[in-house]
Amino acid sequence: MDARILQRTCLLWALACCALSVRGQFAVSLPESVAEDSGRPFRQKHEVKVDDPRLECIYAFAGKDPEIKVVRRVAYIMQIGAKWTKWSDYSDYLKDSVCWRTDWKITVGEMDERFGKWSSFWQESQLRDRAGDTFACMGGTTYDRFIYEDSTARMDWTLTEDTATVCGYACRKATARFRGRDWTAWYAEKLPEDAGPWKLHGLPGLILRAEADSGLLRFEAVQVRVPEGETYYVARTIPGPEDVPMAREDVLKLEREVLTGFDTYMEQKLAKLSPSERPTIQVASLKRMFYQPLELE
Amino acid sequence: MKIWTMMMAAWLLALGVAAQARLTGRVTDTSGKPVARAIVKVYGAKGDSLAAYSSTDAKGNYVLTVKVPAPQLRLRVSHLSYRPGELTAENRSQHLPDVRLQPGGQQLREVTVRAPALRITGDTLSYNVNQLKSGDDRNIEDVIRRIPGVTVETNGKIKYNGEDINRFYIEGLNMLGGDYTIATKNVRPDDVSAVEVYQNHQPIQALKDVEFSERAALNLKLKKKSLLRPVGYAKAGAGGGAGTAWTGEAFMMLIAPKHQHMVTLKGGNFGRDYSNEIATMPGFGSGESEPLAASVFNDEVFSSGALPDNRYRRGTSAIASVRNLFKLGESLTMTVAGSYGYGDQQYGSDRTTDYLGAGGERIVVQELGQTSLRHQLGRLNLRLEQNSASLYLYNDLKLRGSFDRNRYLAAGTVNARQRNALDTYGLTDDFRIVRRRGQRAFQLQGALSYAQTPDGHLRAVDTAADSLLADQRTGGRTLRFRMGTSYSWFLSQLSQLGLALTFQAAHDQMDSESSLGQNDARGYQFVTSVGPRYTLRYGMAIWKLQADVQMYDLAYRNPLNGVRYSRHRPYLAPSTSLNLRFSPLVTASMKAGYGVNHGGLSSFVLRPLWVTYREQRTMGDGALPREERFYLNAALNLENSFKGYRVKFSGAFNATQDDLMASSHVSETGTQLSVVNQKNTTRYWVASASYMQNIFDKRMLFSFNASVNGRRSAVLREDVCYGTRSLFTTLNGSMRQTFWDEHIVAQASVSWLRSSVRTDGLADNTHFDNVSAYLNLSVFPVKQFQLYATCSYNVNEMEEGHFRHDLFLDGGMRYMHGHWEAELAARNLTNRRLYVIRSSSLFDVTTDTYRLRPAEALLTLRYNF
Repeated sequence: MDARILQRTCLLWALACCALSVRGQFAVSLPESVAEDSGRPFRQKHEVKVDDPRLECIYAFAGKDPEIKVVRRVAYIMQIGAKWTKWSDYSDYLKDSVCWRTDWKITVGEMDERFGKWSSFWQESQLRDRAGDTFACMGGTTYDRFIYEDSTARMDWTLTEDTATVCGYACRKATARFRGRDWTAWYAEKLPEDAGPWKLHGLPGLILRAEADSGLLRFEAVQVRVPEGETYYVARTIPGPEDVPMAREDVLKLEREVLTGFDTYMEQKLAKLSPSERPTIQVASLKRMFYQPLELE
Repeated sequence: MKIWTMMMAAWLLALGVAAQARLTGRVTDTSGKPVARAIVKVYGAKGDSLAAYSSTDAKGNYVLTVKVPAPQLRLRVSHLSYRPGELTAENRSQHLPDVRLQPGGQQLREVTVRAPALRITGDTLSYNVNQLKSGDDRNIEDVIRRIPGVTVETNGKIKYNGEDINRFYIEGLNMLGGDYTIATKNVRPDDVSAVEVYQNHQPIQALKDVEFSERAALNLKLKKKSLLRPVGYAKAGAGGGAGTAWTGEAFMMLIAPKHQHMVTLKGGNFGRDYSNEIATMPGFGSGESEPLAASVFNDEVFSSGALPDNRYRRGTSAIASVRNLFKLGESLTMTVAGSYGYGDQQYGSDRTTDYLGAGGERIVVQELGQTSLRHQLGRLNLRLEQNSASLYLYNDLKLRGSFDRNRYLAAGTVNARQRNALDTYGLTDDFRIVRRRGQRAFQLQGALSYAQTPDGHLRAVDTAADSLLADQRTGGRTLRFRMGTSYSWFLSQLSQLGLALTFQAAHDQMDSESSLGQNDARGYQFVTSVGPRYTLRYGMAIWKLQADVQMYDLAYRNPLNGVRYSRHRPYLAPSTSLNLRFSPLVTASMKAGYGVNHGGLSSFVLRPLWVTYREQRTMGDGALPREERFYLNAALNLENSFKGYRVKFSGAFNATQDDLMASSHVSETGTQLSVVNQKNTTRYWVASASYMQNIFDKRMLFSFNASVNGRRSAVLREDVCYGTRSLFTTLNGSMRQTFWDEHIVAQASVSWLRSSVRTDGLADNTHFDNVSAYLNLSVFPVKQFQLYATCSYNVNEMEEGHFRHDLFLDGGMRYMHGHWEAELAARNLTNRRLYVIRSSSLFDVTTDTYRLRPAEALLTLRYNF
């Protein structure tokens, strides 16, 4: 029951925020039982420490969806450890780190007070095993969770002599075509880590800026920091029964279906709730959410 | 042929293989343990171009394939936790010796890209102070004036998009009311994280979505380090010039969630007038009423105030202010405040006035003046405010007293000595109740104020003739009461209907006694107003229509000469407004209305009063005037806050028809001002355009303003009626830019004013040009040390084609170290001793000559906490 309430709460607020982002008219009323649930712990511990981060970089992402004329801006964090790197939504990272600091005792209400109820509707995080160069990816929506392993994410970079300063570091330019998009990356040789935003890596320095298809998608570092003291570790999430193993190509297909047919998707999901649990939701002009996948093939 | 082709291919393949070298090796630390994830880069011997790169695996091994033809290769190995290592090798396939890395990580610079200067959430614009501030800023006002759309006037009043702000919050709480200059002129930018602009701010939560507000509010969000502890500064300094100069200042602020406190003590004689900092800005509450007797005297007898006070005034100015806010409940606050101001200032200024006399003859009057102004002001304030979504309760009690003792000495056409004394006490209580139930809102608001001038004196002596020129006593009081209620409800989702009922009552009295005669005027005025109002919201448009019916019941009398007057009749005062938002960037507004105003007590003050030793004024003619007024205002705004620009075009037209005309008679020994019962129409119009651009990334601010305003009216001089037309054109532009990583901050502005006056029937039409330019340059050789210089250049037209040039140079240096600041400020380094400015008032031309403070300097030491 708890899991269902949590799912429903997340779903409602994600829905409300998404509706705002496309300026749709919406109205949501929560059943009483949801509001009473704020004293429950926000999250159970379902992760293990795999590494200590020796460098962290926060990236600002901006993506354009010309079809609905929306620019999506999100912050991400890359934690770089000796053996593992982890890429996650910065908002989720903050929540996870607060859970860890409070020994997983922080409640839903306390978390809402600190961070509000917003979280990305479509989420994806990647944990990269640096030795095997494989990515363990997981994410999805509140209803459809996926996990998959990506062992073919390799970029054939062409190095150039162009230079630029990004986030205070001198950077060199490199270009590569990766899964249907032409990427331009700027890496800092002063930061000798073969990592970068999302799955981009394989350069002789940390990638601080990357953009695809003439700025349609863009990551730019806004903070590079060396963790000091007791910092939140690089964590591997233990998959639960709701995390379904899928092929990478199927995940891309699911992402397209969810985000380009949002109203249909939501109707299907809400229909599965019993009438007493079903919230009153009116959403207009929300056929499509922001959709501009990082990989096309 | 086939054989040749195969041979060629084999040769090419052999060449390719020969140019490709496979290098393998291992990276370890000094103890021989493998170093994983180290980056290995290979460079050709020539130049720095990267030939190949790889990273080590868990065992520290690497494999590199090099395809460059260089005979020698350089390997560079880098890792965050070790010092970089290097190796030179021949360009052939081989296993290289181990590279041993020395411990000691690289000194990484933690870098954070500056946060964006602006974040927008709904109608709230949040400006990051770190992005807007620069090293030469002294207070948060310097930062606020760089926000696009904000203008800060010389007295500290803040306007947003041309409208006065309606609240100034600190951490969301209204401790300051209209006394916000005490904060803007003292809070340091280092203590503030963001300045938030709440656009279209409705400060009463119960009226949200019921009453649209065009005005904005500002909120200071403090840094965490500046909360819950006292922050502020103490400063002391001494110097010299014409005499010994001194200054002492202390400011403390404590902001906590449940209480806020602000204490200020300031004093000095370096030409700074601190009284602005305890002044209440308009637009907050109903304002304080003044008895008519308090406004009889003219403080500025020999000057027009066209020059900044610190250029010519000497003497002491001091203030003390305490403000406290206590949060008594979730939405209930209590504010207790008190302030005291003292000023004792002297200056010398000469005035030559070229008057139009009878028959077109010119009369020139010269006054060589010395002025001494002593002013004291005290205020106490207790405010309770409950501001929740369903209920608003407000009560604001203010007590005040002001005491003036002024002295004047004149030589020239008349040699005279004058003394003024004026005391005024006042009490004001504002209250307001708003009850919101669903979409219905009920309001009751009122104000009660009482003010008294018990004893005002003006005494002037002709020193040459040893005779009394004027000896006048004035007194009076006013009691005002205002009560209003309104009720509004939504007819549909789009339209709203409301009804407002207002009742105003006033009782005024004034008496005077002098050689010119006695006055004793008194009377009451009741105005009852009923106003239905309709609001329509359609898309991004809001249209309002209001039709007030005002019932006037007035009765005045002057028992000394038996004059009695009363009026009882209704008037209609309709008005309408339209607010449009064409897009998120473009908005427009329009207002129009018609109203009737009446004179008051002044119309029955029939005997002349001494205003100065040479000027007499008769306020009324025994009949109540009626003034009909029509107005039309329109404005168009284009704003893109993210890009930092704002453009505004506005225009206004105002036509007033009344049955009073100003009249004057001038002679060498005096001026008599009065009014006569004669129809007069005054038309006033203004058109203006402004552009402001803040390029946040380049730290550049640019603004341009242009305005033209014209006025047409008629006045009587020596019983001859003259039609007058005046036109004022102003252009000004300013720019601010920082260079070389804020080592240099430059600010420049130029303004041009042309004032033209044309009088029907007179051959001479006058116009004057004034140009002023300002350049401020701050240089920071190191971050802690500032050198600054300010250059002001003024050009004033004395006669047609003849200009007077004045250059002022001020400068100084400031050294900051930790909490301490030492500053040496110097003023008037060009040692200008006289400043002359010429201005016109209809057909009279005035030349003011100010005697200036000499070159002077002040050394101050300041401690910030």
